[in-house]
Amino acid sequence: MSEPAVRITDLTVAYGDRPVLWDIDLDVPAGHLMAIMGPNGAGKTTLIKAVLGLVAPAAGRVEIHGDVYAKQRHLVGYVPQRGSVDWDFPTTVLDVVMMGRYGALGWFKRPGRTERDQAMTALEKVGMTEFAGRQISALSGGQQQRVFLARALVQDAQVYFMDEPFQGVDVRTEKAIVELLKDLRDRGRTVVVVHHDLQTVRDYFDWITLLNVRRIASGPVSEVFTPENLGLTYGGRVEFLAEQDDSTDTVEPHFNPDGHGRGRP
Amino acid sequence: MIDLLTGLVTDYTLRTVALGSAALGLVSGALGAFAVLRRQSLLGDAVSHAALPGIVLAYMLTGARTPLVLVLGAALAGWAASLVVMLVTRTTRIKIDTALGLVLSTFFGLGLVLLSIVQRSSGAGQAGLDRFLFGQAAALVGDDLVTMTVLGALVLVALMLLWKEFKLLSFDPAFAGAMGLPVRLLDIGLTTLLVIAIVIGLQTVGVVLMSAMIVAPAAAARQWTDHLGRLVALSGFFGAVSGLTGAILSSLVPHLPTGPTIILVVTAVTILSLFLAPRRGLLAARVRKFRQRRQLQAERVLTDLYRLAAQHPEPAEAPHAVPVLRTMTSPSGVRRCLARLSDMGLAVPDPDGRWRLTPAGVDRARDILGGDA
Amino acid sequence: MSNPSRCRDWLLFTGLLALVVFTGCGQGDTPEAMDGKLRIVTTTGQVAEVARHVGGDRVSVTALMGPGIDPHLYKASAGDVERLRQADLILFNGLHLESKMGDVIGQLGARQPTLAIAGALPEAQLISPSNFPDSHDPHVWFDVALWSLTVAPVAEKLAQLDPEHADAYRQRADAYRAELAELHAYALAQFATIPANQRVLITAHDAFSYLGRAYGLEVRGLQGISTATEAGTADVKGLAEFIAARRIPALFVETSVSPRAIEAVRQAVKSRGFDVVLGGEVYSDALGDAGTPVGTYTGMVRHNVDTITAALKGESRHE
Repeated sequence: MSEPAVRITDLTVAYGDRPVLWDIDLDVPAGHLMAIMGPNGAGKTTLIKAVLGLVAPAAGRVEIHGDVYAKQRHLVGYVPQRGSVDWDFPTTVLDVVMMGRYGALGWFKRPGRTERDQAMTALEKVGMTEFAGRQISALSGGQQQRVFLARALVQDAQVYFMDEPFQGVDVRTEKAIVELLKDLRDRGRTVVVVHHDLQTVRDYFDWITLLNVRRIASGPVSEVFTPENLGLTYGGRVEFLAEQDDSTDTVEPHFNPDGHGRGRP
Repeated sequence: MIDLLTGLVTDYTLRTVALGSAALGLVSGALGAFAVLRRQSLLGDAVSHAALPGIVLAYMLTGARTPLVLVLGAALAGWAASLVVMLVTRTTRIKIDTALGLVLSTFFGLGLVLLSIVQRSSGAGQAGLDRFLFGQAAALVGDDLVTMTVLGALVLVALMLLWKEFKLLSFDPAFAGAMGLPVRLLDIGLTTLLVIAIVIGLQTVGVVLMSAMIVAPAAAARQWTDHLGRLVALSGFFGAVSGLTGAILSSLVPHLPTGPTIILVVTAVTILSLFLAPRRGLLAARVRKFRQRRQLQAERVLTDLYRLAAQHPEPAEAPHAVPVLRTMTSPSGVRRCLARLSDMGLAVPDPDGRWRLTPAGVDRARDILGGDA
Repeated sequence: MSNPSRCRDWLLFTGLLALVVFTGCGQGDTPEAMDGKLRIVTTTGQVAEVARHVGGDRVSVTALMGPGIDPHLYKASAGDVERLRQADLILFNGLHLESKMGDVIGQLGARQPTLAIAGALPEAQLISPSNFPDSHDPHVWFDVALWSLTVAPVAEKLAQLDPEHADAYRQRADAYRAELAELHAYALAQFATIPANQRVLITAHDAFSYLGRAYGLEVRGLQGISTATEAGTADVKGLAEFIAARRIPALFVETSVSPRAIEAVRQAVKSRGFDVVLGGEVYSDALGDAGTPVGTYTGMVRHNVDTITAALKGESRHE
């Protein structure tokens, strides 16, 4: 795979005259598990939405594996934020997962046995098979997240985009999801995740993009995840406090509480 | 009663009005389910009210009094209103409920002004324009029935063909868009079906009351099912039954206007559903709460008995009297709780009136108290 | 605030105030000064007819409600109110015929001469609808003899306002009453030619009770006294049953009411195997177009009489 999984060129998105993303150039190489991080209002969700064609950019271009998104939809899977949906909607877990196959089914066709089986397989991967017939209103936060993940898995994509999948989710679910994502990465897929927790970056991701309206830095976590870059992204001073842990010498990033601001646009 | 049923088949007026009202109820109920799920209940209201200027303008421009022309005007105006709402919410910061309110009142106000102007011209009475405010169900004739059923059937067929697309659109439009579904087109499509459903009903229940036929059956049906297919079907069913019943009732009592009667019936159905539905109903919720509270009280008395007994060297041999229990966590209803515990086999009374735990009761108390035992 | 700008503000304010005051004052010029005629504004065309015949060329009469307009539903516009305010005399039907103008007329009546010509009729002669025993049916103009009793009070009112020409008004009133007496006799004669068992008049609303009483016809309307009510399914069904059972030859649409409900009744009667004919259009609450025979009260009554008689005798088919 010579071409990057995702190539973003000159992407600019503004709401009115307020710039949310400014002149983003970004290459995501295939086969990586990448985090997108930045402070609130940095444009992380907007970036995903612009890539998926849900938000119209003022300028810029997005290519998935060498071609425009519109032609490559079948290669892309999407996990939106949990809060973007009304969970009181009258439908079951299995039904939601099967929705991931609607694009492949085309117009007027009903989902049948094949789609059902595919959905059950995806539910198995996220450990939710016993919940297949359950109303989505009866699910916990972690379970809801897993259902959304299964819906994306059933799309059998090459590139996955996930918006804050660990938000409000219990520890066990979080660990299970990370294992799943790493597995996807190991099998050659590309996974792009909007993430919010600085503490877990080194454990979960191998690639990172730091964003604050502009692209601050992007590359392997080991190179890019530095105090200087974090300072540029989040404002204020960032210090790493070394914390001894039984197993390894993990370095946990920590904020210096003097001042936090936003990056300069 | 037999007369009534035979009347439904044999009497021209009753048959026509009843079938027309039932058709209206079926279609508006089915589409109303989607409107309600998409939080667009007010859209039905806005589109109905917005139809008024369309009707009056159609008359003013063509001078025609035939219902078909007027209803076409209604459809165009209702459709235009829904497009304006979409445009306003997409291009400005105005939220959808404000946009709907604005469009509703502006269009309806315009309609009333036009109506007032037109009523000064001769022949306006002949067009019966004011009848569109509250409908004139009793004036339905065979031709109207044909139009209503054909349009209604088309709408329902379209709904079934695009079922999964509409389901996804209603649940998660962002995901739908990412997957390549033409979200904007589908949105307009579903709204157009809603407009047609509304326009079918305007002659029967009128502009002002039509929104009830969109919203009430769906609200009622939501109380009874959690499955989308059943919801839409049940909503259509409630609408149809209300139409039918309203028509029948107004055929029994002179001077009872049919349209408003239908609305009263559907409202009654909704209120009953709100109260009586088994899981979501208010009554069921009350009963559930009541039972849970009783259970909790009984468990408190159980654990009280356990704690009291645990202070003695021989716990199982230590019965305690009711007054003692009353000093613990649950002062009221102790006897009742004890009776319940006895029924569950968790406690037994001694001949002298004091109560002790059974082995099962001891186990249960330990479970409840968990680590603190 | 500096002094010059405060001065300017006060000047503007007083200027504005003066403007408002003078505008208000400008509104009361008496129209009499303009062409010497008494300006009469009426509600319905029938009332205007009385005014025209009694007043002759001493008056200029305007009817707010033109041909084909339904007085039960008519709401006065700002222009109408202005016209009413500038009138020397307001004449209206009364008995709540102009139900949506009641407030307007009531308020104006406190300051201007008004007369409810039907309201001035002796109560004993009025019909009370069975379900509203405390009020009266306002459609009095269909009993020509009764209607002619409104002429004298109008003449007296005009005489009061314009004593100089009192005699002329009374003379014209007498002439008009004679004309109406002739009309009444005509109607009696015509209706008498309808066979007894076919003397039933079916129309869109209960406007013809007075006609029924005066000329010996049974009268039934689909809607009630006012067109503001809605006909229910039972009403349509009941009327259809009645028509089919009594084998009534014709029913009638009204010029100021939508024919849809009557059409529905007709279909219902047809389904019972009896073909009731649409006997034609009758004028109920309004006159016909100005400049035509049916634009006058006399012409309108004649048209009604002829149409009804012909249809009930089975001589006409208006499909």
